[in-house]
Amino acid sequence: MFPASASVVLRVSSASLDRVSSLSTHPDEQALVARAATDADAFAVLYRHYLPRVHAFAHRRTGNVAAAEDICSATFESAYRSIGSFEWNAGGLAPWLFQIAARKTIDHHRREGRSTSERGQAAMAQLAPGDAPAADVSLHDGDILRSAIGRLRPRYQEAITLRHLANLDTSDAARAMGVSNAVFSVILSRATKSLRRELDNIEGSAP
Amino acid sequence: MNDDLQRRLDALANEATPSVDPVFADRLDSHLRSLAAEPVPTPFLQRLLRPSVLVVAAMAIAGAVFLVTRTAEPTQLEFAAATGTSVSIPGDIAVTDGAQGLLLPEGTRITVGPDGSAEVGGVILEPGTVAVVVNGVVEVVELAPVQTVQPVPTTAPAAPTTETTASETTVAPTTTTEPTASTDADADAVVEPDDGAATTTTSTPVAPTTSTTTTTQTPETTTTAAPTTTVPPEPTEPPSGERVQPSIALTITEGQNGQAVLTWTIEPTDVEVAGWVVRRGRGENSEVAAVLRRPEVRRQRVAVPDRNVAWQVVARDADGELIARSNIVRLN
Repeated sequence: MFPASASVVLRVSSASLDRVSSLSTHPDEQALVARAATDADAFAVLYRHYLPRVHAFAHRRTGNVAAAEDICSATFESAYRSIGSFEWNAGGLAPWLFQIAARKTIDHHRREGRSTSERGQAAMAQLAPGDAPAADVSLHDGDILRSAIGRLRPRYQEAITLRHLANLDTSDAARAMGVSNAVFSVILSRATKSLRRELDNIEGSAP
Repeated sequence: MNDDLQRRLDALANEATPSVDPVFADRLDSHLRSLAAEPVPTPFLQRLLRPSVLVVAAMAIAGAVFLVTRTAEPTQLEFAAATGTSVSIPGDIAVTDGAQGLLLPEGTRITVGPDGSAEVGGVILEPGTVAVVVNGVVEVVELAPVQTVQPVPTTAPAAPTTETTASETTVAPTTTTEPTASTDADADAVVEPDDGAATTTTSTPVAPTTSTTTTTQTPETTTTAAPTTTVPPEPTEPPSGERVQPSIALTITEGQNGQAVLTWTIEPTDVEVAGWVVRRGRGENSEVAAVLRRPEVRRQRVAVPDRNVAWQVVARDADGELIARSNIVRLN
Protein backbone atom coordinates (compact mmCIF):
# COMPACT_ATOMS: atom_id res chain seq x y z
CA MET A 1 0.00 0.00 0.00
CA PHE A 2 1.16 3.47 -0.84
CA PRO A 3 4.42 2.42 -2.57
CA ALA A 4 6.96 5.21 -2.56
CA SER A 5 7.22 5.22 -6.35
CA ALA A 6 3.55 6.01 -6.71
CA SER A 7 3.83 9.23 -4.78
CA VAL A 8 5.78 10.86 -7.58
CA VAL A 9 3.09 10.07 -10.07
CA LEU A 10 0.20 10.99 -7.84
CA ARG A 11 1.43 14.27 -6.49
CA VAL A 12 -0.20 17.14 -8.26
CA SER A 13 0.32 20.85 -8.22
CA SER A 14 -1.78 23.25 -6.23
CA ALA A 15 -3.19 24.57 -9.51
CA SER A 16 -4.53 21.17 -10.43
CA LEU A 17 -5.91 20.84 -6.93
CA ASP A 18 -8.02 23.91 -7.53
CA ARG A 19 -9.19 22.52 -10.83
CA VAL A 20 -10.30 19.16 -9.53
CA SER A 21 -12.02 20.81 -6.60
CA SER A 22 -14.67 22.08 -8.94
CA LEU A 23 -15.66 18.54 -9.82
CA SER A 24 -18.27 16.87 -7.70
CA THR A 25 -17.13 13.31 -8.00
CA HIS A 26 -14.14 11.66 -9.55
CA PRO A 27 -15.07 10.00 -12.86
CA ASP A 28 -13.70 6.65 -11.64
CA GLU A 29 -14.76 7.13 -8.09
CA GLN A 30 -16.64 3.87 -7.62
CA ALA A 31 -13.78 1.82 -8.97
CA LEU A 32 -11.28 3.80 -6.92
CA VAL A 33 -13.32 3.34 -3.75
CA ALA A 34 -13.53 -0.39 -4.40
CA ARG A 35 -9.75 -0.56 -4.65
CA ALA A 36 -8.87 2.01 -2.01
CA ALA A 37 -8.93 -0.39 0.90
CA THR A 38 -6.15 -2.45 -0.62
CA ASP A 39 -4.66 -0.11 -3.20
CA ALA A 40 -2.84 2.90 -1.83
CA ASP A 41 -2.70 4.57 -5.21
CA ALA A 42 -6.46 4.48 -5.51
CA PHE A 43 -6.87 6.11 -2.13
CA ALA A 44 -4.28 8.71 -3.02
CA VAL A 45 -6.29 9.71 -6.08
CA LEU A 46 -9.41 10.13 -3.96
CA TYR A 47 -7.46 12.08 -1.38
CA ARG A 48 -6.13 14.49 -3.97
CA HIS A 49 -9.55 14.88 -5.47
CA TYR A 50 -11.38 15.70 -2.26
CA LEU A 51 -8.70 17.52 -0.29
CA PRO A 52 -9.54 21.01 -1.65
CA ARG A 53 -13.24 20.60 -0.91
CA VAL A 54 -12.69 19.28 2.56
CA HIS A 55 -10.12 21.97 3.22
CA ALA A 56 -12.50 24.71 2.05
CA PHE A 57 -15.28 23.23 4.13
CA ALA A 58 -13.11 23.15 7.23
CA HIS A 59 -11.84 26.66 6.63
CA ARG A 60 -15.34 28.08 6.26
CA ARG A 61 -16.31 26.36 9.43
CA THR A 62 -13.30 27.47 11.45
CA GLY A 63 -12.02 30.57 9.64
CA ASN A 64 -8.53 29.38 10.33
CA VAL A 65 -6.02 27.75 7.99
CA ALA A 66 -4.20 25.84 10.67
CA ALA A 67 -7.44 24.48 12.06
CA ALA A 68 -8.59 23.55 8.58
CA GLU A 69 -5.40 21.63 7.98
CA ASP A 70 -5.77 19.83 11.29
CA ILE A 71 -9.30 18.86 10.36
CA CYS A 72 -8.19 17.68 6.93
CA SER A 73 -5.47 15.51 8.44
CA ALA A 74 -7.86 13.93 10.89
CA THR A 75 -10.53 13.45 8.26
CA PHE A 76 -8.37 11.70 5.68
CA GLU A 77 -6.62 9.61 8.26
CA SER A 78 -9.98 8.35 9.52
CA ALA A 79 -11.18 7.85 5.97
CA TYR A 80 -8.11 5.86 5.09
CA ARG A 81 -8.49 3.62 8.11
CA SER A 82 -12.15 2.92 7.49
CA ILE A 83 -12.51 3.07 3.72
CA GLY A 84 -12.90 -0.71 3.75
CA SER A 85 -16.18 -0.36 5.61
CA PHE A 86 -17.63 2.19 3.20
CA GLU A 87 -20.48 0.83 1.11
CA TRP A 88 -20.91 2.49 -2.21
CA ASN A 89 -24.15 4.34 -2.78
CA ALA A 90 -25.62 6.79 -5.22
CA GLY A 91 -24.19 9.77 -3.39
CA GLY A 92 -20.65 8.55 -3.85
CA LEU A 93 -17.87 9.15 -1.39
CA ALA A 94 -18.56 12.85 -0.72
CA PRO A 95 -21.38 12.53 1.87
CA TRP A 96 -19.40 9.94 3.82
CA LEU A 97 -16.25 12.04 3.70
CA PHE A 98 -18.02 15.26 4.69
CA GLN A 99 -19.72 13.51 7.54
CA ILE A 100 -16.28 12.59 8.87
CA ALA A 101 -15.10 16.14 8.29
CA ALA A 102 -18.15 17.59 10.03
CA ARG A 103 -17.56 15.44 13.08
CA LYS A 104 -13.88 16.25 13.16
CA THR A 105 -14.85 19.91 12.99
CA ILE A 106 -17.20 19.51 15.93
CA ASP A 107 -14.42 17.77 17.85
CA HIS A 108 -12.13 20.64 16.99
CA HIS A 109 -14.62 23.19 18.25
CA ARG A 110 -15.16 21.19 21.39
CA ARG A 111 -11.45 21.31 22.11
CA GLU A 112 -11.33 24.95 21.20
CA GLY A 113 -14.32 25.63 23.41
CA ARG A 114 -12.52 24.18 26.35
CA SER A 115 -9.45 26.33 25.76
CA THR A 116 -11.46 29.50 25.09
CA SER A 117 -13.85 29.03 27.98
CA GLU A 118 -13.61 31.31 30.97
CA ARG A 119 -11.81 28.64 32.90
CA GLY A 120 -9.52 27.93 29.96
CA GLN A 121 -8.74 31.61 29.51
CA ALA A 122 -8.09 32.02 33.20
CA ALA A 123 -5.68 29.11 33.09
CA MET A 124 -3.96 30.58 30.05
CA ALA A 125 -3.73 33.97 31.74
CA GLN A 126 -2.03 32.39 34.73
CA LEU A 127 0.44 30.59 32.52
CA ALA A 128 1.26 33.58 30.30
CA PRO A 129 -0.28 36.80 31.64
CA GLY A 130 1.09 38.92 28.81
CA ASP A 131 -0.58 36.84 26.09
CA ALA A 132 -4.18 37.38 27.17
CA PRO A 133 -6.34 38.08 24.11
CA ALA A 134 -7.63 41.58 23.62
CA ALA A 135 -11.19 41.97 24.78
CA ASP A 136 -12.27 44.38 22.07
CA VAL A 137 -11.64 42.20 19.00
CA SER A 138 -14.23 43.09 16.40
CA LEU A 139 -15.86 40.09 14.69
CA HIS A 140 -16.80 39.77 11.04
CA ASP A 141 -20.18 38.43 10.09
CA GLY A 142 -18.64 35.08 9.14
CA ASP A 143 -17.04 34.83 12.57
CA ILE A 144 -20.34 35.55 14.28
CA LEU A 145 -22.08 32.92 12.21
CA ARG A 146 -19.35 30.37 12.90
CA SER A 147 -19.57 31.15 16.58
CA ALA A 148 -23.34 30.71 16.55
CA ILE A 149 -23.07 27.41 14.71
CA GLY A 150 -20.49 26.26 17.19
CA ARG A 151 -22.97 26.78 20.02
CA LEU A 152 -25.53 24.39 18.52
CA ARG A 153 -25.99 20.81 19.49
CA PRO A 154 -23.58 18.57 17.54
CA ARG A 155 -26.38 17.08 15.46
CA TYR A 156 -27.63 20.53 14.48
CA GLN A 157 -24.11 21.66 13.66
CA GLU A 158 -23.73 18.62 11.45
CA ALA A 159 -26.99 19.28 9.60
CA ILE A 160 -26.24 22.96 8.99
CA THR A 161 -22.68 22.47 7.87
CA LEU A 162 -23.39 19.48 5.65
CA ARG A 163 -26.28 21.20 3.93
CA HIS A 164 -24.95 24.74 3.66
CA LEU A 165 -21.17 24.71 4.02
CA ALA A 166 -20.41 21.41 2.30
CA ASN A 167 -23.08 22.20 -0.29
CA LEU A 168 -24.54 18.70 -0.17
CA ASP A 169 -28.08 18.40 -1.40
CA THR A 170 -30.75 17.20 0.99
CA SER A 171 -30.44 13.55 -0.07
CA ASP A 172 -26.68 13.44 0.31
CA ALA A 173 -26.75 15.30 3.61
CA ALA A 174 -29.42 12.93 4.91
CA ARG A 175 -27.36 9.97 3.74
CA ALA A 176 -24.29 11.39 5.44
CA MET A 177 -26.18 11.65 8.71
CA GLY A 178 -27.74 8.22 8.26
CA VAL A 179 -31.31 9.44 8.32
CA SER A 180 -34.15 9.72 5.82
CA ASN A 181 -34.74 12.88 3.85
CA ALA A 182 -37.81 13.68 5.92
CA VAL A 183 -35.98 13.28 9.19
CA PHE A 184 -33.11 15.34 7.89
CA SER A 185 -35.51 18.12 6.94
CA VAL A 186 -36.91 18.15 10.46
CA ILE A 187 -33.42 18.21 11.98
CA LEU A 188 -32.37 21.01 9.63
CA SER A 189 -35.48 23.03 10.41
CA ARG A 190 -34.85 22.79 14.15
CA ALA A 191 -31.17 23.48 13.63
CA THR A 192 -32.01 26.65 11.72
CA LYS A 193 -34.33 27.88 14.48
CA SER A 194 -31.66 27.20 17.05
CA LEU A 195 -29.10 28.99 14.93
CA ARG A 196 -31.35 32.01 14.67
CA ARG A 197 -31.76 32.09 18.45
CA GLU A 198 -28.03 31.84 18.95
CA LEU A 199 -27.42 34.66 16.49
CA ASP A 200 -29.97 36.79 18.32
CA ASN A 201 -28.25 36.05 21.58
CA ILE A 202 -24.84 36.94 20.25
CA GLU A 203 -25.93 40.06 18.41
CA GLY A 204 -28.35 41.13 21.10
CA SER A 205 -25.65 41.03 23.73
CA ALA A 206 -23.15 42.85 21.54
CA PRO A 207 -22.45 46.46 22.63
CA MET B 1 -35.65 30.19 7.08
CA ASN B 2 -35.78 33.91 6.72
CA ASP B 3 -33.92 35.57 3.90
CA ASP B 4 -31.36 37.18 6.13
CA LEU B 5 -30.14 33.93 7.65
CA GLN B 6 -30.15 32.22 4.28
CA ARG B 7 -28.16 35.10 2.86
CA ARG B 8 -25.62 34.92 5.64
CA LEU B 9 -25.23 31.16 5.28
CA ASP B 10 -24.83 31.52 1.52
CA ALA B 11 -22.22 34.17 2.07
CA LEU B 12 -20.33 31.90 4.43
CA ALA B 13 -20.63 28.99 2.02
CA ASN B 14 -19.24 31.12 -0.80
CA GLU B 15 -16.59 32.76 1.29
CA ALA B 16 -13.29 32.76 -0.46
CA THR B 17 -11.00 30.19 1.08
CA PRO B 18 -7.27 29.95 0.70
CA SER B 19 -5.94 27.26 -1.58
CA VAL B 20 -4.54 24.17 -0.02
CA ASP B 21 -0.94 24.64 0.79
CA PRO B 22 0.87 22.18 -1.47
CA VAL B 23 3.43 21.59 1.22
CA PHE B 24 0.65 20.59 3.57
CA ALA B 25 -0.94 18.44 0.87
CA ASP B 26 2.33 16.62 0.26
CA ARG B 27 3.00 16.26 3.93
CA LEU B 28 -0.42 14.73 4.52
CA ASP B 29 0.12 12.51 1.51
CA SER B 30 3.34 11.27 3.04
CA HIS B 31 1.65 10.79 6.36
CA LEU B 32 -1.05 8.66 4.80
CA ARG B 33 1.58 6.63 3.00
CA SER B 34 3.36 6.06 6.27
CA LEU B 35 0.09 4.82 7.70
CA ALA B 36 -0.15 2.40 4.79
CA ALA B 37 3.22 0.97 5.71
CA GLU B 38 1.98 0.23 9.22
CA PRO B 39 -0.19 -2.75 9.92
CA VAL B 40 -3.74 -1.60 10.04
CA PRO B 41 -4.77 -1.59 13.68
CA THR B 42 -7.70 -3.81 14.27
CA PRO B 43 -10.35 -2.59 16.64
CA PHE B 44 -10.03 -4.14 20.05
CA LEU B 45 -13.38 -5.88 19.92
CA GLN B 46 -12.58 -7.31 16.50
CA ARG B 47 -9.34 -8.68 17.84
CA LEU B 48 -11.19 -10.23 20.74
CA LEU B 49 -13.62 -11.96 18.42
CA ARG B 50 -11.01 -13.59 16.24
CA PRO B 51 -11.59 -17.36 16.19
CA SER B 52 -8.06 -18.09 17.31
CA VAL B 53 -8.43 -15.74 20.27
CA LEU B 54 -11.78 -17.28 21.15
CA VAL B 55 -10.35 -20.79 21.02
CA VAL B 56 -7.41 -19.82 23.20
CA ALA B 57 -9.71 -18.06 25.65
CA ALA B 58 -12.03 -21.06 25.83
CA MET B 59 -9.11 -23.40 26.44
CA ALA B 60 -7.72 -21.11 29.11
CA ILE B 61 -11.06 -20.96 30.88
CA ALA B 62 -11.51 -24.72 30.66
CA GLY B 63 -8.00 -25.24 32.00
CA ALA B 64 -8.56 -22.83 34.85
CA VAL B 65 -11.83 -24.52 35.77
CA PHE B 66 -10.14 -27.92 35.63
CA LEU B 67 -7.29 -26.78 37.85
CA VAL B 68 -9.61 -25.13 40.33
CA THR B 69 -11.82 -28.17 40.59
CA ARG B 70 -8.80 -30.47 40.83
CA THR B 71 -6.94 -28.51 43.42
CA ALA B 72 -9.80 -27.07 45.39
CA GLU B 73 -9.77 -28.21 48.96
CA PRO B 74 -13.00 -29.62 50.27
CA THR B 75 -14.91 -27.17 52.36
CA GLN B 76 -13.27 -27.16 55.75
CA LEU B 77 -15.61 -28.16 58.48
CA GLU B 78 -15.67 -26.66 61.90
CA PHE B 79 -17.46 -27.31 65.12
CA ALA B 80 -20.74 -25.48 65.27
CA ALA B 81 -20.91 -26.62 68.86
CA ALA B 82 -18.91 -29.04 70.92
CA THR B 83 -18.65 -30.16 74.50
CA GLY B 84 -16.78 -33.07 75.97
CA THR B 85 -15.18 -33.77 72.62
CA SER B 86 -11.59 -34.56 71.80
CA VAL B 87 -10.12 -34.01 68.40
CA SER B 88 -7.09 -35.47 66.72
CA ILE B 89 -5.95 -33.33 63.83
CA PRO B 90 -3.42 -34.72 61.32
CA GLY B 91 0.06 -33.65 62.28
CA ASP B 92 -0.15 -35.05 65.76
CA ILE B 93 -2.23 -32.22 67.06
CA ALA B 94 -4.54 -33.25 69.80
CA VAL B 95 -7.28 -31.03 71.12
CA THR B 96 -8.68 -32.47 74.26
CA ASP B 97 -11.63 -30.15 74.51
CA GLY B 98 -13.03 -29.27 71.15
CA ALA B 99 -15.05 -26.10 71.10
CA GLN B 100 -17.19 -24.12 68.75
CA GLY B 101 -15.30 -22.70 65.79
CA LEU B 102 -12.50 -25.26 65.84
CA LEU B 103 -11.55 -25.97 62.25
CA LEU B 104 -11.56 -29.62 61.33
CA PRO B 105 -9.24 -30.28 58.42
CA GLU B 106 -9.27 -33.35 56.28
CA GLY B 107 -8.51 -36.49 58.26
CA THR B 108 -9.45 -35.06 61.61
CA ARG B 109 -10.73 -37.67 64.03
CA ILE B 110 -13.45 -36.56 66.38
CA THR B 111 -14.25 -38.49 69.52
CA VAL B 112 -17.30 -37.47 71.46
CA GLY B 113 -17.06 -38.37 75.11
CA PRO B 114 -19.75 -40.22 77.07
CA ASP B 115 -21.25 -36.95 78.20
CA GLY B 116 -20.29 -34.86 75.22
CA SER B 117 -21.91 -33.76 72.05
CA ALA B 118 -20.82 -32.01 68.90
CA GLU B 119 -22.34 -30.46 65.85
CA VAL B 120 -20.32 -30.57 62.66
CA GLY B 121 -21.57 -29.67 59.22
CA GLY B 122 -25.15 -29.74 60.36
CA VAL B 123 -24.82 -33.20 61.86
CA ILE B 124 -25.13 -33.86 65.57
CA LEU B 125 -22.67 -36.38 66.90
CA GLU B 126 -24.03 -38.33 69.80
CA PRO B 127 -22.06 -39.31 72.90
CA GLY B 128 -19.59 -42.07 72.18
CA THR B 129 -19.38 -41.31 68.48
CA VAL B 130 -16.10 -41.43 66.65
CA ALA B 131 -16.09 -39.65 63.33
CA VAL B 132 -13.52 -38.79 60.72
CA VAL B 133 -13.56 -35.89 58.28
CA VAL B 134 -13.29 -37.35 54.78
CA ASN B 135 -13.69 -35.19 51.70
CA GLY B 136 -15.13 -32.43 53.78
CA VAL B 137 -17.85 -34.68 55.17
CA VAL B 138 -18.24 -36.22 58.59
CA GLU B 139 -17.99 -39.99 58.46
CA VAL B 140 -19.19 -41.77 61.56
CA VAL B 141 -16.97 -44.78 62.03
CA GLU B 142 -17.71 -45.88 65.55
CA LEU B 143 -20.58 -45.72 67.93
CA ALA B 144 -20.36 -46.47 71.60
CA PRO B 145 -22.82 -49.03 72.96
CA VAL B 146 -24.69 -46.23 74.63
CA GLN B 147 -25.84 -45.23 71.16
CA THR B 148 -29.23 -46.78 71.38
CA VAL B 149 -32.03 -45.31 69.43
CA GLN B 150 -34.81 -43.97 71.49
CA PRO B 151 -38.31 -44.57 70.24
CA VAL B 152 -39.14 -41.58 68.15
CA PRO B 153 -42.60 -40.57 67.11
CA THR B 154 -42.88 -40.42 63.38
CA THR B 155 -44.51 -37.66 61.44
CA ALA B 156 -44.34 -39.12 57.98
CA PRO B 157 -45.69 -42.61 58.06
CA ALA B 158 -44.08 -43.61 54.82
CA ALA B 159 -42.46 -46.67 56.24
CA PRO B 160 -43.63 -49.84 54.61
CA THR B 161 -43.65 -51.55 57.93
CA THR B 162 -42.73 -50.93 61.51
CA GLU B 163 -43.01 -54.38 62.90
CA THR B 164 -39.24 -54.91 63.28
CA THR B 165 -38.38 -51.50 64.66
CA ALA B 166 -37.16 -52.73 67.98
CA SER B 167 -34.75 -55.24 66.60
CA GLU B 168 -33.44 -52.82 63.99
CA THR B 169 -32.78 -49.86 66.15
CA THR B 170 -30.74 -51.50 68.80
CA VAL B 171 -27.04 -51.51 68.38
CA ALA B 172 -25.65 -54.97 68.25
CA PRO B 173 -22.09 -54.90 69.62
CA THR B 174 -21.26 -58.16 67.90
CA THR B 175 -21.65 -56.64 64.49
CA THR B 176 -19.48 -53.58 64.91
CA THR B 177 -16.80 -54.79 62.54
CA GLU B 178 -15.85 -51.97 60.24
CA PRO B 179 -16.94 -52.46 56.68
CA THR B 180 -14.21 -53.48 54.32
CA ALA B 181 -15.15 -50.99 51.67
CA SER B 182 -15.34 -47.29 52.21
CA THR B 183 -18.64 -45.60 51.88
CA ASP B 184 -17.01 -42.36 50.93
CA ALA B 185 -18.78 -39.15 50.23
CA ASP B 186 -18.62 -39.56 46.50
CA ALA B 187 -22.28 -39.48 45.72
CA ASP B 188 -22.11 -40.65 42.14
CA ALA B 189 -24.22 -43.62 42.95
CA VAL B 190 -26.64 -41.63 45.00
CA VAL B 191 -29.71 -40.39 43.30
CA GLU B 192 -30.38 -36.78 44.07
CA PRO B 193 -33.53 -36.02 45.96
CA ASP B 194 -36.09 -35.52 43.28
CA ASP B 195 -39.54 -36.93 43.53
CA GLY B 196 -39.58 -38.24 47.05
CA ALA B 197 -40.41 -41.73 46.00
CA ALA B 198 -38.92 -44.32 48.23
CA THR B 199 -39.25 -47.13 45.75
CA THR B 200 -37.84 -45.63 42.60
CA THR B 201 -34.37 -47.06 42.99
CA THR B 202 -33.11 -48.95 40.00
CA SER B 203 -30.08 -50.47 41.62
CA THR B 204 -29.63 -54.17 41.84
CA PRO B 205 -30.84 -55.28 45.18
CA VAL B 206 -28.61 -57.27 47.42
CA ALA B 207 -30.28 -60.49 48.05
CA PRO B 208 -30.82 -61.60 51.58
CA THR B 209 -28.14 -64.02 52.53
CA THR B 210 -28.92 -67.52 53.56
CA SER B 211 -25.88 -67.73 55.74
CA THR B 212 -26.47 -68.29 59.38
CA THR B 213 -22.90 -67.86 60.57
CA THR B 214 -22.49 -64.15 60.19
CA THR B 215 -24.37 -61.13 59.09
CA THR B 216 -21.41 -59.03 58.06
CA GLN B 217 -20.29 -61.03 55.09
CA THR B 218 -21.38 -60.24 51.61
CA PRO B 219 -22.80 -63.02 49.48
CA GLU B 220 -19.43 -63.26 47.66
CA THR B 221 -17.63 -64.14 50.89
CA THR B 222 -20.00 -66.69 52.32
CA THR B 223 -17.84 -69.66 51.43
CA THR B 224 -17.37 -70.42 55.08
CA ALA B 225 -21.04 -70.45 55.55
CA ALA B 226 -21.57 -72.72 52.61
CA PRO B 227 -18.52 -75.01 52.47
CA THR B 228 -20.03 -77.21 49.85
CA THR B 229 -19.71 -74.70 47.12
CA THR B 230 -17.79 -71.57 46.22
CA VAL B 231 -20.50 -70.24 44.03
CA PRO B 232 -22.28 -67.33 45.58
CA PRO B 233 -25.72 -68.27 46.63
CA GLU B 234 -28.54 -67.39 44.39
CA PRO B 235 -30.76 -64.68 45.71
CA THR B 236 -33.47 -66.11 47.75
CA GLU B 237 -36.77 -65.63 46.12
CA PRO B 238 -39.74 -64.84 48.28
CA PRO B 239 -42.45 -67.42 48.27
CA SER B 240 -44.40 -65.38 45.83
CA GLY B 241 -41.56 -65.62 43.32
CA GLU B 242 -41.02 -61.87 43.17
CA ARG B 243 -37.76 -60.26 44.22
CA VAL B 244 -38.18 -57.70 46.91
CA GLN B 245 -36.67 -54.30 46.25
CA PRO B 246 -35.01 -52.95 49.38
CA SER B 247 -36.70 -49.82 50.50
CA ILE B 248 -35.97 -47.29 53.20
CA ALA B 249 -38.70 -45.53 55.11
CA LEU B 250 -37.44 -42.26 56.52
CA THR B 251 -39.15 -40.02 59.03
CA ILE B 252 -38.13 -36.75 60.54
CA THR B 253 -39.07 -35.52 63.97
CA GLU B 254 -38.55 -31.99 65.08
CA GLY B 255 -36.46 -31.62 68.19
CA GLN B 256 -35.34 -28.67 70.23
CA ASN B 257 -32.87 -25.91 69.45
CA GLY B 258 -33.29 -26.17 65.72
CA GLN B 259 -32.53 -29.84 65.64
CA ALA B 260 -34.38 -32.75 64.18
CA VAL B 261 -34.02 -36.50 64.30
CA LEU B 262 -33.98 -38.64 61.21
CA THR B 263 -35.03 -42.23 61.76
CA TRP B 264 -35.40 -44.90 59.20
CA THR B 265 -36.06 -48.55 58.62
CA ILE B 266 -35.10 -50.73 55.73
CA GLU B 267 -37.02 -53.59 54.20
CA PRO B 268 -36.20 -56.40 53.94
CA THR B 269 -34.56 -56.20 57.33
CA ASP B 270 -31.80 -58.60 56.48
CA VAL B 271 -30.39 -56.60 53.60
CA GLU B 272 -26.62 -56.38 53.85
CA VAL B 273 -25.98 -52.70 54.41
CA ALA B 274 -22.43 -51.48 54.93
CA GLY B 275 -23.31 -47.90 55.66
CA TRP B 276 -25.60 -44.97 55.18
CA VAL B 277 -25.31 -41.66 53.48
CA VAL B 278 -27.42 -38.83 54.80
CA ARG B 279 -28.12 -36.25 52.15
CA ARG B 280 -29.74 -32.90 52.39
CA GLY B 281 -30.93 -30.71 49.61
CA ARG B 282 -32.73 -27.57 48.76
CA GLY B 283 -34.13 -26.89 45.36
CA GLU B 284 -31.93 -28.40 42.70
CA ASN B 285 -28.91 -28.75 44.96
CA SER B 286 -28.13 -31.53 47.33
CA GLU B 287 -25.08 -32.58 49.27
CA VAL B 288 -23.84 -35.26 51.57
CA ALA B 289 -24.42 -34.25 55.15
CA ALA B 290 -22.87 -37.28 56.76
CA VAL B 291 -21.60 -40.75 56.04
CA LEU B 292 -22.42 -43.37 58.66
CA ARG B 293 -20.17 -46.37 58.37
CA ARG B 294 -22.23 -48.21 60.89
CA PRO B 295 -24.83 -50.48 59.36
CA GLU B 296 -26.67 -50.84 62.61
CA VAL B 297 -27.47 -47.15 62.83
CA ARG B 298 -31.05 -46.20 62.10
CA ARG B 299 -31.06 -42.71 63.48
CA GLN B 300 -29.21 -39.46 63.02
CA ARG B 301 -29.70 -36.17 64.72
CA VAL B 302 -29.21 -33.17 62.50
CA ALA B 303 -29.30 -29.41 62.72
CA VAL B 304 -32.13 -27.90 60.73
CA PRO B 305 -31.68 -24.16 60.39
CA ASP B 306 -34.10 -24.17 57.49
CA ARG B 307 -37.31 -26.16 57.63
CA ASN B 308 -37.42 -26.38 53.84
CA VAL B 309 -34.27 -28.47 53.66
CA ALA B 310 -35.08 -31.91 52.32
CA TRP B 311 -33.45 -35.01 53.74
CA GLN B 312 -32.82 -38.42 52.32
CA VAL B 313 -30.98 -41.49 53.50
CA VAL B 314 -29.20 -43.79 51.10
CA ALA B 315 -28.02 -47.31 51.86
CA ARG B 316 -24.81 -48.60 50.41
CA ASP B 317 -23.22 -52.01 50.32
CA ALA B 318 -19.61 -52.88 51.08
CA ASP B 319 -18.58 -51.93 47.55
CA GLY B 320 -20.14 -48.54 47.89
CA GLU B 321 -22.94 -49.43 45.55
CA LEU B 322 -26.37 -48.04 46.06
CA ILE B 323 -28.77 -50.46 47.67
CA ALA B 324 -31.75 -48.26 48.28
CA ARG B 325 -32.71 -44.71 48.90
CA SER B 326 -35.37 -43.41 51.16
CA ASN B 327 -38.27 -41.15 50.63
CA ILE B 328 -37.55 -37.47 51.04
CA VAL B 329 -38.64 -35.73 54.19
CA ARG B 330 -38.59 -32.19 55.45
CA LEU B 331 -40.01 -30.50 58.51
CA ASN B 332 -42.45 -28.43 56.51
